[in-house]
Amino acid sequence: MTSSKQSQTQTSDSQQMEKIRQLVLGEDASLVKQTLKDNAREMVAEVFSEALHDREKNDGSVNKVLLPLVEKSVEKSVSNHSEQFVGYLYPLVGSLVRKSVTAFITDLLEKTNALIENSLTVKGLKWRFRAWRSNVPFSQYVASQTFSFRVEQVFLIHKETGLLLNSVSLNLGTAADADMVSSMLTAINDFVADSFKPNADSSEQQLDVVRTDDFTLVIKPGPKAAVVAAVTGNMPQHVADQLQVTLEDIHKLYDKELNNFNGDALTFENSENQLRDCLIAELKPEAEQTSKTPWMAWSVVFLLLCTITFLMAIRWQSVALKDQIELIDRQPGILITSLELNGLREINLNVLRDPSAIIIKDWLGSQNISLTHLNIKERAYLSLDPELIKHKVQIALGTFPNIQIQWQGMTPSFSGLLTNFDKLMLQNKLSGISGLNFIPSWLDGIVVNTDKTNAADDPNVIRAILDLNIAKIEKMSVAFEKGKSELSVTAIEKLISIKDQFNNLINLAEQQQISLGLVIMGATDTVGTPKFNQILSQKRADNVKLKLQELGISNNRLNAIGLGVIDLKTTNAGARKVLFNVVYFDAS
Amino acid sequence: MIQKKICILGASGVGKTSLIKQYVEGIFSEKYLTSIGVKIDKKIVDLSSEKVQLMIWDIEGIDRYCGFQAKYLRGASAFIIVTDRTRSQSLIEGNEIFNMAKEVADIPGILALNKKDLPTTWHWSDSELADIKHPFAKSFDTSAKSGEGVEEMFSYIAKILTE
Repeated sequence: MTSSKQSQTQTSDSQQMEKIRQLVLGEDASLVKQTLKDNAREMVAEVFSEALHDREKNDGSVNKVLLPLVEKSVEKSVSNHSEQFVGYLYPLVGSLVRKSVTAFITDLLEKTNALIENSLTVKGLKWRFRAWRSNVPFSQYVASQTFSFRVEQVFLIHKETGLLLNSVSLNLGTAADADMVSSMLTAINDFVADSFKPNADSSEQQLDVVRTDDFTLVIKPGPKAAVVAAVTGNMPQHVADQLQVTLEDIHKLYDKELNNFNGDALTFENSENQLRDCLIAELKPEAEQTSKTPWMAWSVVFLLLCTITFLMAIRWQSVALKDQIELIDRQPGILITSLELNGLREINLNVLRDPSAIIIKDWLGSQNISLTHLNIKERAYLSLDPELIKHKVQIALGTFPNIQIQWQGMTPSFSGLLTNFDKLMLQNKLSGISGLNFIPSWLDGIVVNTDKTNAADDPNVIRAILDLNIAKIEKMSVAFEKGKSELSVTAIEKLISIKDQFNNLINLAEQQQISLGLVIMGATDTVGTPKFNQILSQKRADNVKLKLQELGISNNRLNAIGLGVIDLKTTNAGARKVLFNVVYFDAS
Repeated sequence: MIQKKICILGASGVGKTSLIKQYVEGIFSEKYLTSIGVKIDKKIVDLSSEKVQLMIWDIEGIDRYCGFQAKYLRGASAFIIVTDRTRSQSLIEGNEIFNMAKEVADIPGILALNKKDLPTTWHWSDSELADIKHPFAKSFDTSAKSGEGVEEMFSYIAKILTE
């Protein structure tokens, strides 16, 4: 009975509770929900940041959720308001570029300075020698000389296992065996703790500082981990303080990870930031001073600029000189074949010069051009420059002071008083000037002075001169190729000379009432049949005659004869040539 | 990469150092063994799932004249006890060392019966041997000369330590 009563009371209690709950909270706790909803904004706002922070710390999920949202909204914003973004970024980008360029140049200058200082200066060479003598790498020696102290490497070591949790170093190469080093260090520490009596407070003996020739090993042990730093130079107290601060930070930040460490050092990856704070260094006072202004690099830059300016000035001078020399080309009888700069200041000048033209060195002297850096190569040539021909005529007239000359274009006319002999001499000289194309009528203005009795005007003397000139012509011959009758270029040049000399003789001879003729004799060597050789020799003589006719000798004065073979044992080449013979008769 | 500290223990002259010499990376000279009583080497074991880096503390031979450096076992995940098949005494000593080690660290112990390349001269019966092996997590017949059993032993240790 009692029990059934009790159960009834219980049922009614719970029913009553339910009723009260409904009254207070409303149907399905709707009153509470409504109240929460009404104040939701304030409530969430109050804990929003903290909640985000806690959740991110717990499982890192906040970042994962937010990242794509932020990315999307930034992307949308940029594409919709690109103009505005450009406006925001423009001043930033400009100053960023300027900053990075400045930093780059400063860095480069400093590096160059250090390089020069370390390699070229007496100090640098001394250091190199000392580093070599003490068998340490040069960079290490420089560091030891430049820095008062420098923290080279920092280890974070798990106290219990001696395993390396993380390490940072200035130089990547030295960090390779950090894991074995840190275990060994723990072993040595254990060895010390075991080998010596415990401290008064019964705590174990601990290594604090290990000093060697090259560096100091500073060990800061904590309850769960130790920070160890390898320091070169004279370590000041504040390095140990920094290690202590870092050690405390790490214990605070990684408390849970240190307690639950199972060998996975990855969880301590971010401790690098804390450990990097310990990589401190201090330059020696003198090193500091020099590093402020990289004057070495600046002086090299200055020297470089000076050299460039100097070289450019020399080059500019040479170019100006070359332009000046080019003007020599305008001189009659001088032809520049090449004019070029050789190296920095040498100038090579190759010219053709007519022997009658001005001497090149004289011209350069008159222009005040120094010959020091000038290499002149000169070759002779015959110029047909009108100016030079006039000059040559003037020279020819040098020995005839009584003769005046007047030019009409390229045609001169001479006047004055001469003896017959001198007139002949002048005529001879003028006809010898190439390019002048002498015509005897130019001398018509000259009055022959017959009054004077002059040995040179003696008919016998003139006859002797005539004979001399005839002998000159007769000495000439024109050679031919084997079996050929065509005239070569040399042959034609010879014929031009023969024509000039023969025409001069005609004038001379006419004055002595003598009539001149030129016998042209063709000949061949012994090769071939006599008949063929006869024809060939005639052909050769005919060709020469034809050419002389073309050149202006009257047909009446020329006679071509084929001699056939000239069989002379004294000549090996045979006689493949045309010979000349001048014949003269008294006109009377 | 997971790192684990393991220790190699054993009586003097059983060939601890020779056993691992060719299979580990080391930078320290053997003279450390006699000076501070320990030398550290490294062995990376490539399991199919992951790589495990074993930091191997090779501890100086233990005998009745030389005390057991319990501190070196601190933080270790496992230990190997090396014995010499040609010396009965080494097995007894190995057993003693095992007990000492178990007192300071409750970690798996592995038995290496070394010098497999030489004829066995001890006279343990199979049941006696089984009794001695019993407390160990596993035993391996090894040879420093041929290298037999060494890789398997390290792989086994890496495996049980990552499971």
